[in-house]
Amino acid sequence: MEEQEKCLWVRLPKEVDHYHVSALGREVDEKLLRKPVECLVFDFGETEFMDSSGVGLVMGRVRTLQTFGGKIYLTHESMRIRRMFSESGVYHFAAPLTDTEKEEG
Amino acid sequence: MTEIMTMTEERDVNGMEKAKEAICMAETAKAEETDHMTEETNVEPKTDMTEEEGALINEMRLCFLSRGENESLARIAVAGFIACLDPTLDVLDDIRTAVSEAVTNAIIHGYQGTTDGIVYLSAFLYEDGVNSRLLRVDVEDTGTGIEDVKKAMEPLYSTSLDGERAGMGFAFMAAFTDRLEVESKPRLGTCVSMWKRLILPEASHDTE
Repeated sequence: MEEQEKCLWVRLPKEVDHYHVSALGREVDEKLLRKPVECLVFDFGETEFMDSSGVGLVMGRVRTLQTFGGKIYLTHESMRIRRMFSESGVYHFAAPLTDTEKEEG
Repeated sequence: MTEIMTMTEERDVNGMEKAKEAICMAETAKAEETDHMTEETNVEPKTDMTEEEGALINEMRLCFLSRGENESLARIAVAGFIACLDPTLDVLDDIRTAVSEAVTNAIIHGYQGTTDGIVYLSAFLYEDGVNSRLLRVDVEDTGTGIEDVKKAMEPLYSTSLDGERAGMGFAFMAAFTDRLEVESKPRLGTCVSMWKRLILPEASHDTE
């Protein structure tokens, strides 16, 4: 994870399943508790596999940010992962992050 | 509804077939869901798969502790089982995801996150049409069991207490397979069965 002034950038691992991300949600929450941010970015650039644990991870943070404030972004999702998020309704709560937005942010 | 039978106490890999027969209260919630959709929307059921499976070509049984790292093992095992059919990446990912969901459920719900439960993974390959094979994967545990299978299979429903689960496990399993059945009895265990038709690569198509 990387903390910049306004933004917490979380890079997801190659496999996003319950075993690999169940602790990550709590870690992110703890970081946000210590230092609230304007935005939280989940970067799926390395992710080759994802099941519903990825959906749970993002939606869990949506709930967290409802308390702390801030926006959630998803970036570098593969087409398949994008479809899974789309069909789960995640994009109603978390926005895709384009590279231009990234640079400006 | 099938008759209620008692579950044997002992389990061993050889006796698994016997124990499997003893799991009771079959509910084909998936089939009911499909029928409901047909009535409402005039959409064809997702599968016209019959109950009968073709001749058995291959079979694999694997059991492992209910440890989180074995979610990956299960995905690899089933991927390995169908590797000879040269599946497309899409089909492979569908199956890996469905297996991952079922095994995760067995670990975090069936065995409530304890690591000394045994998860039973079985995979079967059946003859199907001229250019296809039928894969069946069973994921079974002898854990908590599900009180209300229909409710459990509702999207977004989760009994997880830590708020980290999306409640989409069964929804994804159903989306990525052709047929899904769940048998469960509280305090005895759960068996999730999934079927997926696999199209053979061009070169291996049976000839008339």
